[in-house]
Amino acid sequence: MDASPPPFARRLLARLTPARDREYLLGDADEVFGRLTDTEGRWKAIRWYLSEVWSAAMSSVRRPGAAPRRLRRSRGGGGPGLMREFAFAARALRKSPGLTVAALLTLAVGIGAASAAYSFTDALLLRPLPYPSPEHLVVLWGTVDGSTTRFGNASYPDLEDWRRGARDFEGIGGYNETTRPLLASDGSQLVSVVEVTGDFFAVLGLRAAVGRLPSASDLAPDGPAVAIVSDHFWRAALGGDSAVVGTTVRLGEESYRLAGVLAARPTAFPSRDAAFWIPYRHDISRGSRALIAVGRLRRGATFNAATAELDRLESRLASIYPESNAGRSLAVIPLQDVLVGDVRETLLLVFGAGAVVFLLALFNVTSLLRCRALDRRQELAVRAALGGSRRALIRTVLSESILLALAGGAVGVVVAAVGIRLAVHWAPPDLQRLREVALNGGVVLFALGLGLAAALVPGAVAVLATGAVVNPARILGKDRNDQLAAGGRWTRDTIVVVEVALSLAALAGSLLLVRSLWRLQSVDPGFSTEDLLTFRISLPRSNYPDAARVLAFQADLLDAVGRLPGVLSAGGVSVMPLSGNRLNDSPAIDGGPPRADLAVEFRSATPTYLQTLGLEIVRGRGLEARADREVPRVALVNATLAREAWPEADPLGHTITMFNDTFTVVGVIGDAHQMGLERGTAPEMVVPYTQVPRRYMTVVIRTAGERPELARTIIGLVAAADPEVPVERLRTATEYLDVSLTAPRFRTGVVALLGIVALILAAVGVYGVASFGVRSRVREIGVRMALGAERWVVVRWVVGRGMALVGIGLVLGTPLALGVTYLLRHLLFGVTPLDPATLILTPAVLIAAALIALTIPGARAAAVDPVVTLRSS
Amino acid sequence: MDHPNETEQLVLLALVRLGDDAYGVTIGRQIEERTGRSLALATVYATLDRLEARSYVESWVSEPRPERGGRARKHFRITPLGATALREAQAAMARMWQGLEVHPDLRKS
Repeated sequence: MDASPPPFARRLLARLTPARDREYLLGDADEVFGRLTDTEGRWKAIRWYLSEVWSAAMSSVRRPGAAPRRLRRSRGGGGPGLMREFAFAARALRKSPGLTVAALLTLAVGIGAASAAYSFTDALLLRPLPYPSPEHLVVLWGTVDGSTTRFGNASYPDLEDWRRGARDFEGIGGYNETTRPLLASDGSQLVSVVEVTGDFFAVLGLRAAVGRLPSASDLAPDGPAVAIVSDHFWRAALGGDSAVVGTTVRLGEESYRLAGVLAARPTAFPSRDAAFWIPYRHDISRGSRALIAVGRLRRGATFNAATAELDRLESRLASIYPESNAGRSLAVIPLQDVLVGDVRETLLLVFGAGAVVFLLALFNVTSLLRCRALDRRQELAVRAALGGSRRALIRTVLSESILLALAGGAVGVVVAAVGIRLAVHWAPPDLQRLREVALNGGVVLFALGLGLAAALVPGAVAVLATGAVVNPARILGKDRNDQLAAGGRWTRDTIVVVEVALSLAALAGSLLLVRSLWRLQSVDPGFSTEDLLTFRISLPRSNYPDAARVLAFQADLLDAVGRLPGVLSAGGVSVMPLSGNRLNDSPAIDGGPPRADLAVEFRSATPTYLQTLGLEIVRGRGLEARADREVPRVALVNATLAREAWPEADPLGHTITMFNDTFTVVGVIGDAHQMGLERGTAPEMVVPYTQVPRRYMTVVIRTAGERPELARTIIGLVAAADPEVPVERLRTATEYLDVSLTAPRFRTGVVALLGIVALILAAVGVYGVASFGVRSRVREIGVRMALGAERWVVVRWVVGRGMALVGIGLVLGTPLALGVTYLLRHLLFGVTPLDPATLILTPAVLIAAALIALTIPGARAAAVDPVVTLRSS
Repeated sequence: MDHPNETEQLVLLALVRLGDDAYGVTIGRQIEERTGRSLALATVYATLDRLEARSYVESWVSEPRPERGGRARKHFRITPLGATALREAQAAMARMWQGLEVHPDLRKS
């Protein structure tokens, strides 16, 4: 049996015992603990030990000397006196548990919400990227003249020309995110791969944990086939064994020598899932823009100078290679901005909502402590009259609020930790820097600062409220009820008004976002996403060297899938709408010059694709099964493209040129959303797979009802056809939609939650002030009722007074709320900042909450018994 | 001379009873056995510290005992000054008691 006391209790006891006795007291306690364990059992012994700890804590508060002697001395300040003051405050707070718990919870929610919001803002907006000199890191966006569209992509030869020619850069590199099957003896597994070129590793300042990273010349098209493995994949899948460096991995068709392990980083750019980094060797023609260019500015180079230099390079390239580079220019954007993306507004929004919640909590606690200080006026006045120094009295009042704020701050940190956990869990996955969000020292410090503010403001107000400190005689001369009624009604009312105004603004913002999300969710994607299953395959060049074999495999697979039980129809498409992937370019219409103002989404599809997805054929015909590579090339255009390209004419029979091929329009199809529900439908054209074959295909399957068992069947089917072809991204279309809804759902969820908290806090504030009002006027109410006032008149009086304040708050809060909704305008979908439903609903909800909050003090006022009240006074 | 308060008197008396065997555990046990009041070790030590500050007790640390888990103990004994103070306290109490009979129902009025 274990006869030693619980270590935490022992440590605590050691803490609480003065150093000179510590060793002996602990030894004595161990001795008794051992004896009790033997005679009475371990539980009794532990209980005894804990009571010893408690006694030690109590006597450490009193030490040195007995309590009565300390009273006088405490005036001089100093440590033990302060401790005693806190012990006194703790006892006082314990005596009114209702108030203490209310204040504590309010503070915890306020501090927690604000700290969690701060940690997000800090990690994603304020903290620099975890790379050396992150301020010099930029992304080079290509833009096409006359178009507002930014193309993030660069071609390999362009990038090399920039890299060699641009003096304002220390280096320029490129990357392309892709997936490859990792072939192993026990089957293939799809892994995320980043293809890199140029100075990529040097630009980001990446290091190898094992082995070495390839230089720019290693990454050149004629360089060796080397791969770098990411730290997490090395640990998770390769066992973290350094011996794997130098071995060979097979990624898809090619084999690579593993040259090193990338040192771990909190932010893995560009993709945190990336397992391997390999040289970019795909298509190195100037017209093929698959790379995203990142660069490191030379020290002292400005963004404008760098942009100007790149523009000079681009115009030179345009004059040499007009067919691929005409009309293009470059923009230099800080990498931080690209990674943070459009979450900046979301984060500021979340931070703002957190701040409002904190302010409301602060007001509520101020209001609570003020009422409490007023209740204690008498006691304090007596102390002052008996010669208690003003400093000592202020300290008594302040120590309570400091104690509350410290405890509230501590619980607030816990609330923040939980909040951060939840928020990270729900946050959109494309928030690149998400992994850095955590409860760190900065956040705790922030919470501590808030706690300090939360101690000083209510404390100061409470001290002011106790006029006792200033003029005890005035207080003592009056009846308690009179003082309460007179006590600073103005401050109290102001607090209610401000709270209502603030929560109106918070609520208006949340409601508007909820309405916007609702609108977004009810957007028709242009095709039915119910019972739609999709997966992707891509065929390796080695086993499928020509189009005929690719097409044969794909046709056989579609045929087999289409005959599975529960499958209504199956079709194939090169790029699935809403998948986040795209292939687009500017078209030439009827043999004219390229239309730079149009970016047309380009898909190859099988004939059954249209009917499987449920896309309507508006004019002409669909795709025919017989179309093969010899007949004139045909295309379907969507309604948007038809309108943009041939505003006056019937598009049928006209031609459109894309990627150096000319197609004749044979049909017009309905619009579907391609890149996300929040974006409009883009111009789109669909061509037959047989005429524009692709090695990759997304198979789209319409099932009869939900068929979860199909997933397994499909994997088996593909494996039987070719075990080296993995099934990629097997998911339902609803899951695609969810991806496109994550970001708006996240910000709406967070802000709505904070909005609800704000509403509750405001209601609590209204309740607190009204019930204090009733309590302080019990006698007045009693007199009125004795004089014949009906109960409902009393209720009306209480509720009416409260609602008048709420009304003023609503009026003053309206401009604030309108300001908030105006700030939100970029985040809205399908609703305007002046959305009538929001404008009506927000005050209505607040009024309802306030009415509910006021019924309790109203009922209490109605329950006043005039006889009892009058007799007691 | 300061009068020791009740707890202090209890501790001083326990020291007299225990002689050389007085340390935290035995003092506490002695008081509990005789009076039924259990004092926390922290209280015992705090009281002893106060008494030592007034030179009513003195302490010494024993050698660790040659057994498993044997440890050094802080032993206490009463000083002549402490004994005098204890006698004074007893005498004061005795004078207060002289010629009185106290019944529990006295408090009622």
